Amino acid sequence: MHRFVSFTLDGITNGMIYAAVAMALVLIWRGTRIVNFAQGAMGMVTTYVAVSLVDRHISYWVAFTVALVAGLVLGALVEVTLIRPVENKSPLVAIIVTLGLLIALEASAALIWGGRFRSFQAPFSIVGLKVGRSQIALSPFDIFTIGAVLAVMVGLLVLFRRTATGLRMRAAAFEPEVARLLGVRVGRVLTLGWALAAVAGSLAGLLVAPKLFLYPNNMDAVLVFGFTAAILGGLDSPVGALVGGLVIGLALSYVGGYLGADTESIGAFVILIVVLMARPGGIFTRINPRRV
Amino acid sequence: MLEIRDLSTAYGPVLALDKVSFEVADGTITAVLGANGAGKTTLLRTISGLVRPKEGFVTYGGHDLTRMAVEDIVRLGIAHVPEGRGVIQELTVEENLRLGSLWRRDRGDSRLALEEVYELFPPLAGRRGQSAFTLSGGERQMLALGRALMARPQALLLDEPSLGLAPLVTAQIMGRLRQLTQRTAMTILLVEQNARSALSIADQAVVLSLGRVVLLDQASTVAGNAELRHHYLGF
Repeated sequence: MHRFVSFTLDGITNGMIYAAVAMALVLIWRGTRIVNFAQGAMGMVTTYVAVSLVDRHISYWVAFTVALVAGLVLGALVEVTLIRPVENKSPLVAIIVTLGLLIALEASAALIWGGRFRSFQAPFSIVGLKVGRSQIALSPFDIFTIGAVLAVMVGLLVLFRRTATGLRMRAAAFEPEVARLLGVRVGRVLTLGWALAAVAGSLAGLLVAPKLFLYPNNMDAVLVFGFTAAILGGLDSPVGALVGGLVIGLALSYVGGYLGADTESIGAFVILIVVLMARPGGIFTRINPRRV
Repeated sequence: MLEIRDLSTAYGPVLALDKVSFEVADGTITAVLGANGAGKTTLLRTISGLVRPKEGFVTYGGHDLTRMAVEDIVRLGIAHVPEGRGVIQELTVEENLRLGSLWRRDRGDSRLALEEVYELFPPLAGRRGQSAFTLSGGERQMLALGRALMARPQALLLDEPSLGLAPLVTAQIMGRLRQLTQRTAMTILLVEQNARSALSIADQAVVLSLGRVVLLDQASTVAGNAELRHHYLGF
């Protein structure tokens, strides 16, 4: 029973990180119908920015904020310089561009910061809390992780549902041509979508590093799990991203816990294949039959 | 005044518009008629900037629209209601409407415009919180039209507003359009296959055939001349 509780708590924490990555992928998919394979690597780069600042004795919170802002800028920059030029070509071209960016970012990070594993001290303990006499698999940092991802999710939801900018983003995602005819500057909206996605990706990077160390491809597995979560949620739904993230987090935690850590990645692929076979649209997609 | 001069638009090697020229005076309705494939939709899409012409120009208020971005043409006060209505089904009725005036600075007037649209199309008022997906064909047309009016446009480009609607609903919509031009001096370019109902409210008629203007005259002249009607419009 104690093991089960531990695996569950662990699964929830990791699930929130996968949810953040899934959210980033969903944001970009909704706007541009592209899966951004460089999403994890972009988060890795901004996490290196944070680590470099902390190395120079700058406070964690300043470094954390700078990394998120760096994500915002990096996301916008990638959209304007790399994605915009191939916008009207086949979607495959843009996907290959993101794969190229993934390799370029990981190689550049290795050149600039070196390939060794680096630790990233968080201001919270990563040692599990004590309940009574036994230690549980929930550390103060885990609580911070859950809270931070939830805050970003709620923030994005409020942005989408309650603001004019969010209305523009939804219109541009569903009907770009109609949105333009109503005066929405769709190009700017897409840039904003990539920027916000990169913030969510950077958050995931910052939250992964204290537990898994930081190295140039430390986000590879996280991206695969986040991608599986996004597919599970339907790739179109922010709520689906959150639930998908939690499902993947829990499933992998149980698989890894009971069957051994080596089976985790295989578990993710099994889930991915089963979902694609059983419900290719994901669990949370509302597929409205379109009427003319 | 909206002036279209020697406008030619091509899709690859296919010429969809061939040196089309005519003018639409402020506060009047021009019906653009013709069979399927005559170039009616292409004409509207070229005016609103969605497709670029091969040659010729479109001027409105001293601006050459063929050099402007779609989003900037909207800001000149030209609203285009596309074919198939372009209602965004994933959004609510009110979100669709609000979208129409988001680019305008005047928030107070946008709220006023919203109430006016609900007054003009009462069925929308009762469904403001519902997803646009749940609307009937006639209600969708009202929503698309209402959304265009949210921008308080000076010119309205309408692509087949009667498509798929019952005759009674079409008559209602046409009546509303006539009312609008009289009240607000709005200029309307009305693309229609339903020539009879379009001529009933238009001042001027343009008949296109294979991308060329084959007839340009007063709407009343075309409607009153059985030979013209029969030859060009088939009724």
